[in-house]
Amino acid sequence: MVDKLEQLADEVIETDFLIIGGGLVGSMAAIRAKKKSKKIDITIIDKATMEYSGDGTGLDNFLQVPLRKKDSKKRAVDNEEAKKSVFGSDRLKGLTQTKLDAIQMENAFLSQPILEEIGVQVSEDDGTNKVIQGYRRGTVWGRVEYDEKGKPTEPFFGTISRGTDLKVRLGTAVRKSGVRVFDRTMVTSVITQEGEAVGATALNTRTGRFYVFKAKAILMATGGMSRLYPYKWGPFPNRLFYTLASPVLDGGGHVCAYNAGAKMYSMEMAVVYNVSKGINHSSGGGACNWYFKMYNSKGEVLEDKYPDMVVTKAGGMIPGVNFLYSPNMQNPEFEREVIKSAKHKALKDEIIGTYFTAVTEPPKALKFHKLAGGLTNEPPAECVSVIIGKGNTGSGGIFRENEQSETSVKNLFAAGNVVGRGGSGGFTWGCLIADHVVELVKDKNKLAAFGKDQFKQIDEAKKWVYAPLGREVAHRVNPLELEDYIRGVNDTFIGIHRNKPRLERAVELIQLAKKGAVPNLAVSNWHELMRAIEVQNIIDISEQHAQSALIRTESRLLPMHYRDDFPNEDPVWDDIVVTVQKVAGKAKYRKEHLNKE
Amino acid sequence: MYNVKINYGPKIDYRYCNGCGMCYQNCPLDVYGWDEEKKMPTVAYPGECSCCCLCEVMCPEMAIDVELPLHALLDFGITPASISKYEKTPLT
Repeated sequence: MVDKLEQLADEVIETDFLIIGGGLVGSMAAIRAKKKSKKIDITIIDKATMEYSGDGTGLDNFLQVPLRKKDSKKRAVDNEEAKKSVFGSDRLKGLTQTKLDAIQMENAFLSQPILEEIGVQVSEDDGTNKVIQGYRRGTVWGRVEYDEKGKPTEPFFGTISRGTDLKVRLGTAVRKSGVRVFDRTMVTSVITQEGEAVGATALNTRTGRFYVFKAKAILMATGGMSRLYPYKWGPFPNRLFYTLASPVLDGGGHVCAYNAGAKMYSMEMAVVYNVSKGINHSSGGGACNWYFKMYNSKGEVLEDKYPDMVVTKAGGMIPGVNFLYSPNMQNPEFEREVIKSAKHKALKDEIIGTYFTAVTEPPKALKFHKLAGGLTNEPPAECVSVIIGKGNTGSGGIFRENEQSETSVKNLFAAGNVVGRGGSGGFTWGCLIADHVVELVKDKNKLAAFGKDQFKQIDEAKKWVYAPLGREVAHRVNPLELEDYIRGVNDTFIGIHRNKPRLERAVELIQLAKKGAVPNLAVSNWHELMRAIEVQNIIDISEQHAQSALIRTESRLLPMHYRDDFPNEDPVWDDIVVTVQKVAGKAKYRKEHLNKE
Repeated sequence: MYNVKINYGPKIDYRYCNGCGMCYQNCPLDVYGWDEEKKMPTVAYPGECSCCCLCEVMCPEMAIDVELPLHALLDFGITPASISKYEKTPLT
């Protein structure tokens, strides 16, 4: 039997805790678990390299750390409030797991000591907890300002730390802690045994080596789905990679978990941004939680005009990104008007803050500023446009069944943007899962013995992975061309304005590509093979995206899900989500209560 | 992978490159290739560059310049004409 496993894999790795994805969540979970138990054997696989991987690679990289306990007395942080949800339940209107949100809120400080220890300075030298002090009012985030008496005008929500080199520091700390790290290794399947996750297969995208991992517990921390929609202003193939979140994140973790039997939820949601062209301090602005007001051509402030709209800011990979905004769908001003952002002059400390945080953005941000002639306090250039940033990050992904953040597959945990809870929330869940796994591993003496069924799974995964390599077919399909086509379909037929016939057309076209183009994917090296695997993941997720949008016959969380044919929020759908799970090899879509009592 | 010439993405100045491989090791998008004979990085997939510019910053010899795509420059209010003008001005 063992011989056979070795024939199937180039290398078999046995570990206690396998972490898939070395981003913020994966790194934090590894460090925390190692702190709790020196004995635990941890392995991380990462598609890029630990120090520069994931969405935290100075990409979205403001680090929002909730206030320390002593500071938090200023606002009542209790369970009740968490449930009411300053933390997002309001914004997510019945689409968030309130119990889990409450746990996240209670444990919001877990990651702070670790961050301080590895040199991410959260506190200032004078002991205050600042750099930028932010508030969060319902759906709006902003920077706390002071009145003449020096009183803050809004209650504090959290502080934005400098976060400089955050990901490099985390990556370095992980390597130092004795965790085994497999860089340039992408997950290709999760191996199960009677509904329990017992391992995973992975491919090294540089050497083509095929790994089989055997593990007692697995954490899926592969981030969101940044590659569902094209960046509409870029030419091909740049529009596939010039994305709002890290384009490394293709949703491979979602697909592997789904194929292993994990339930997915709220796959219909899409994150919509307004991209403001040419704001000269915008990237730092996003990171600093500054909010630029937006005006239409009549000079009306949109925030005042549409008080119910979803407005928040997002830092991002594209310097012009400042807002996550919900256009009023019945009066889609944003799509017809020329919207401009506020013409206020940046304050001196804002400019300093921008330099602070621009270094934690991808260096691209600083380069833009340099090319534009440096940061100034000149009024920014303006013009805002709506673009779709990514898939459902923020409200959906892999469904978490219990308070340990376990998926429907036993011992397969998930955290971060893969479940719709990224950033600092991901840090918290990384810690919580690590604590749980350390206890779990103590009780579990042996790794599961692989039988015929597991060999079959590995064999199938291997065949699927290598199939496009050197494929001889009359018409070779290039993975990037196929990806461009699928993302174009999503943009045209799913997008912001959805209706039944268009969504059905999207499903048709996606299925056509799946049946008619995927079998002809042909590549000539390992790098291209990675792209071929990614496009198949993107196709699978796109199909779930369209199908779920078809089922949700209402509009909610505009513009994350807007149906032209069902333009209103329907109370029947309160707290109900569309889920999808693989049952007997087929996708089974259901309507389910999210917060069952 | 494509015949169309890609103008954006990393440009390596081989006069300065010392072949340390930082860019090849760390590019998140795996844009770089490696020339085994010369022991030097190559730009294998410029079309897949997200222009994050991490390589430009981490290169110890400052041998890399990531050219930004035209659409990105214009969206940011930077005209190619203004770039050449700016580069003649010393940094303050």
